[in-house]
Amino acid sequence: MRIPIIILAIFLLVSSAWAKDLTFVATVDQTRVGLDGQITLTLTVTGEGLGGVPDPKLPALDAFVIVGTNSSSSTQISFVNGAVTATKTVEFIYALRPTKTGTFTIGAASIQVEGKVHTTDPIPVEVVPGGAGGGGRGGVAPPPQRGLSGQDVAELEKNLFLEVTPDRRQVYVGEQVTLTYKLYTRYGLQNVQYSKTPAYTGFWAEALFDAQQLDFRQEVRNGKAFNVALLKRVALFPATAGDKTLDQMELGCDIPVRSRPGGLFDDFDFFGRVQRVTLRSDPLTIEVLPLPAGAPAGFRGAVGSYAVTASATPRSVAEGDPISVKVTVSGAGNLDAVTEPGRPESRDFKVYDPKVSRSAQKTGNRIGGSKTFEYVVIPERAGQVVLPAFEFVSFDPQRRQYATAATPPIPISVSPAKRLAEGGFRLSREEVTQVGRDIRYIKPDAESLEDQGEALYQGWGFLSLQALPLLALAGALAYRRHLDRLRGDVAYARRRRSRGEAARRLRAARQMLEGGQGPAFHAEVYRALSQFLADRLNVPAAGLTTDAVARHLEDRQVEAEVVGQVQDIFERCDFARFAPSTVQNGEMERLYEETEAVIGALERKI
Amino acid sequence: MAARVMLFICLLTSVPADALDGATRLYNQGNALYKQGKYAEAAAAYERALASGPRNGRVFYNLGNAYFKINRIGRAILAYERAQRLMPGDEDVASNLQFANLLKLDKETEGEVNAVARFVRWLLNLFSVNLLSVACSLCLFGMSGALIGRVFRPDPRLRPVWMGAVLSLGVVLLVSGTLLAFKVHAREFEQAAVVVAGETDGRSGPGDENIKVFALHEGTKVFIQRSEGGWLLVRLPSGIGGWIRARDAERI
Repeated sequence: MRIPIIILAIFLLVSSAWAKDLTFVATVDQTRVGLDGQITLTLTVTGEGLGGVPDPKLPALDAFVIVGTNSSSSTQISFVNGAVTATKTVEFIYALRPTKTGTFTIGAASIQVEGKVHTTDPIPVEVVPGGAGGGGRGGVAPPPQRGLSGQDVAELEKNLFLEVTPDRRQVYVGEQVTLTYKLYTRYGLQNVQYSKTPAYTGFWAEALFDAQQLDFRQEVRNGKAFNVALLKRVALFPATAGDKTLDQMELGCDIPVRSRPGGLFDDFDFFGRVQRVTLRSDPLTIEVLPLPAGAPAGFRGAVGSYAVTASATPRSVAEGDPISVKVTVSGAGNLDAVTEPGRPESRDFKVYDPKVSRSAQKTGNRIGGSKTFEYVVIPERAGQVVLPAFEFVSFDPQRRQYATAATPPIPISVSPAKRLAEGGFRLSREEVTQVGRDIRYIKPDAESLEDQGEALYQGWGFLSLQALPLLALAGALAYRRHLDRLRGDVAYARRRRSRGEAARRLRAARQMLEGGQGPAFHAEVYRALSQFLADRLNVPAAGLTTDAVARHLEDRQVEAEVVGQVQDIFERCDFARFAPSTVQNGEMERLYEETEAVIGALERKI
Repeated sequence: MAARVMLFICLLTSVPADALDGATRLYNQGNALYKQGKYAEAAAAYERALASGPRNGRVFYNLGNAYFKINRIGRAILAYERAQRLMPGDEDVASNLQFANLLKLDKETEGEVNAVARFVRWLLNLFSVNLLSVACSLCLFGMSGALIGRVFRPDPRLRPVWMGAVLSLGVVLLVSGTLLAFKVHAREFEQAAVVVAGETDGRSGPGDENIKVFALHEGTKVFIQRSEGGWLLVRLPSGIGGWIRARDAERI
């Protein structure tokens, strides 16, 4: 007996603890109904670890009669971090038929669970004469849906729509307005896709949220339970004043269709038939106010609430040494419109152009962040000097006025630059340190300036000059080959030498002719010709008879005339050698010339 | 042989004497104005010297200094870049270019480069195109001379001398030839430019109606891809590309 009591005790403990999370909601399927129509009222009890739930107590329903009741119960068990959670949902469904026309309120229903009473919100309902409810959401007109009757469209519009809400409808130029796009549906949707996303012309837009998947939550609206998904949230900064109408967003989706007449759209479909519909958000107009007149000097268009801070390092430097000054503008607003703060006018400092860095940040739905301007500042006077304030002017849309934020002045102590030549000679030696940095000095004057623009490789002269060593190398190789051949190839060597030899012998013969040595002259002429022929034909000169010469020459296709001349010269030389006295000087002269001519002719032939 | 090459170079690089005198006078005038602190006037004098005469690195360097002093960082960087092309290896130019680059608005977009890339860049900046051309030429002459020597004095004791000369000159030729090829390629095909306008927008196409894709500030170096109707398609070292107005940037 003891164990069941303990179990019961635990059960009670647990359920009383969990029952705190109980929700009790009333919804209707439509808030406008014809007198002949029907309303379904659903009371939903949801809670973790619910035990038995008693029937809820319905309010007095003056204008309706209950024509049917039903209830269902489901439990969802989930494991989170090892803990088991059982969420139970009990639905009580009542079919109500109106009894008269007019506007009525379905009062609060109540339920008592674990000794605690939970109530629902009252729901206003309008009963009109006739059949279906009719009418749609004001202002919204989805495009005509193919294959749907007007009645279908009306019902569709009540149960499926795209809503855009701005966080404000009146803003200043440059002030942030946030748009939120939500999808409301009472159907199961498939293939949800954007068919048109707004371009936001005239605005600087920054996305705050873009749904990667539809994440539905329950939301009750006009007494009906909707599945609501946040699609997109975007921050807009208008660039110019005037009434700006924003583009509508369009969304396409498939909803299941049931072919049974009367119940057009339902959550389940055995045959998988779907209907493609296009949703469009309301047209939306934002009134953009111009910034008020009387902007202070130094205003560069920054809108938002900004603060300015400044820091300088180091605070004590030598004259001419750089100081790094960081000025940070931070706050909520469009960072792109944040420009450099006004630089202080000071003769004590030289301020160089800043290096700009930014870090954007989203706080909730507000765009903001900080922009840092890092200046290099060079003090130009020694002593205690003050770096004056950097001023940043912006328009604060909340306070509707211009605001000037200034950094506090920063005191800097500047020591005089060390000069090496001060006070004659130095007692102690010190390492020379670089105390400032500047560009190097200009180059000195010139006597003349050469043109360095034209490069050598662009001139043909230089390029062709490069051929010289290659040509020289080729020439050297050819000459080397010639020398090698003279040494190794006897025929080649004799041939190359033949002309020179013949010329030398002829010169000797000429001297003999002039010296009146007739026989020696003829012998020399004979040798010159026979040696030339032997060299050219590469045969021994000793065994070279006149007949052999004629045969060799004929083999080499030398003309008969030239062969005849050769034979003639040989004969005349022989004759003169044996009968020298008969030969006249003029004849010797002729013989000499003829021999020269024959050698010249032979050289071209063999 | 070397004397002949030098004579040849002198002939190639000489310019008409009268233009030289005018340009030199303007250059010296600019220096005098610079010394008086009249930087804007000095810059104008240097610009005139360049317009009338030879392209000389010293003039570009001094022009860069004058622009730097009147806070025109874009023009200063452009002049230093031009000076560096004409006088690579000049320490003053390298130092001032680096200093001017520190003061420009846009961050260095080239990112981290490794030691090898830094060494190659240093090597490329060390020698001028003409110096490398002459070096290649001398190597060619030297190698041919050594080979000819080898042909006519084939004494086995002399052989290592000839072949050593050919090999060592060949290595020098290979290195200087490679560097020369890089430099000539950069000179002929890389169209670098420097932004001289205070700020210019990079757009997705040539025309103001196109979407702004980035903003560039004075002094930023870009590479020109092509040009069309007063617009230039430029690429940043980081790889982003866009069209900017041709008048906002000037070719180096």
